[in-house]
Amino acid sequence: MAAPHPDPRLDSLLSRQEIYDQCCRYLRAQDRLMPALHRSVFWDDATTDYGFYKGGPDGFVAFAQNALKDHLSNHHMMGQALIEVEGDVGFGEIYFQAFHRFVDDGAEKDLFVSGRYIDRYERRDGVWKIAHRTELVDWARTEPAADDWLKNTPDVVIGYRGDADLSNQREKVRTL
Amino acid sequence: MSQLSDAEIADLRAVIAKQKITEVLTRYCRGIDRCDLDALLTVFWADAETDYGSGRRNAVDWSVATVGALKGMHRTQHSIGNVLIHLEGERASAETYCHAYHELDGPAGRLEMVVGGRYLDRLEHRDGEWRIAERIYVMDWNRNIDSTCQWDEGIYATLKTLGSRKPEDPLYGMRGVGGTAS
Repeated sequence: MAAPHPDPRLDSLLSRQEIYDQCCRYLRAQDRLMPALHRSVFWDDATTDYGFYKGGPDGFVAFAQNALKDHLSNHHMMGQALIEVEGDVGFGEIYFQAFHRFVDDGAEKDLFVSGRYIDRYERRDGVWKIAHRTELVDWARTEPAADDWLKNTPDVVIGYRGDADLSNQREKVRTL
Repeated sequence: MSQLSDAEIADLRAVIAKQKITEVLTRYCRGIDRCDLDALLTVFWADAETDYGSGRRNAVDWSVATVGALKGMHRTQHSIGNVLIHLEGERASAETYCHAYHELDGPAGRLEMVVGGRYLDRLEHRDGEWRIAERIYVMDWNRNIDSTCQWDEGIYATLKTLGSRKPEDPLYGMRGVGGTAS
């Protein structure tokens, strides 16, 4: 992205798009287990507070990727993203709903966690990244798995982690 | 507004393209949930192909068949979340998260089916308009329970304006909706 535009409305529009895309990449990296992409949305000196984890981006990404890989699958859905830009600093309230399928005492369960990221973004050398992220949880709900339909419908295209997922096969998608 | 550099104009065009693409993706949800075939057909190029997991089909044929099938359900609601778009000139690819709610008749009463997935789209810009040229649907999770819907009891007794399909849904009384493009 170019240097900040002197018109603050235009600069805000361009900046909010960049920040929105970074928030999407964060969630994508969690669902596809892509630690390098996950780490890339944070500045090196960023801070995070997830309650059960507080610390810098290297530790957070290692913690989160390690925790998520023990799940069978995840789907982090973003909702309204209110991003406000003040020069080279931005502030965000990002709603999310996260699905986690995991095994507990041999039984598959679904944990839904819904909350908001309270973020501070910083622009350095024209690039927006997360400088701080706190995860607030608004509600959570655990239920026994209930997707026999999925098991009985083998011809669906299923999501995977990492390179096996079609979203990571752009060259293939280009020629389909 | 002050003079824009070439780089700023390129950035601005990218934001506008992403906004237009996001509106196409959102109009898809309207077409599906309102069983509005006219709206749905503005989402895909006529030669587009779809694969929702059961094979590749022409998008127009798929749209006609799907609207017919959706009318057999009591209601649906498709919500899109994160939309990550990659632009390459007149082409784009997009990964769009979706929660899809369906209430439908099961063998022993009404069921609620919720499906979480992602649309992996290839879009093309033709004659100034973005539409989907190829769509692949990937399912990530689903839940299926006996319906818990209530309509006339408790707090719901005061919520009398219910969603429906075209043209009964209140949407179609709104100025500017028209019934096709947003």
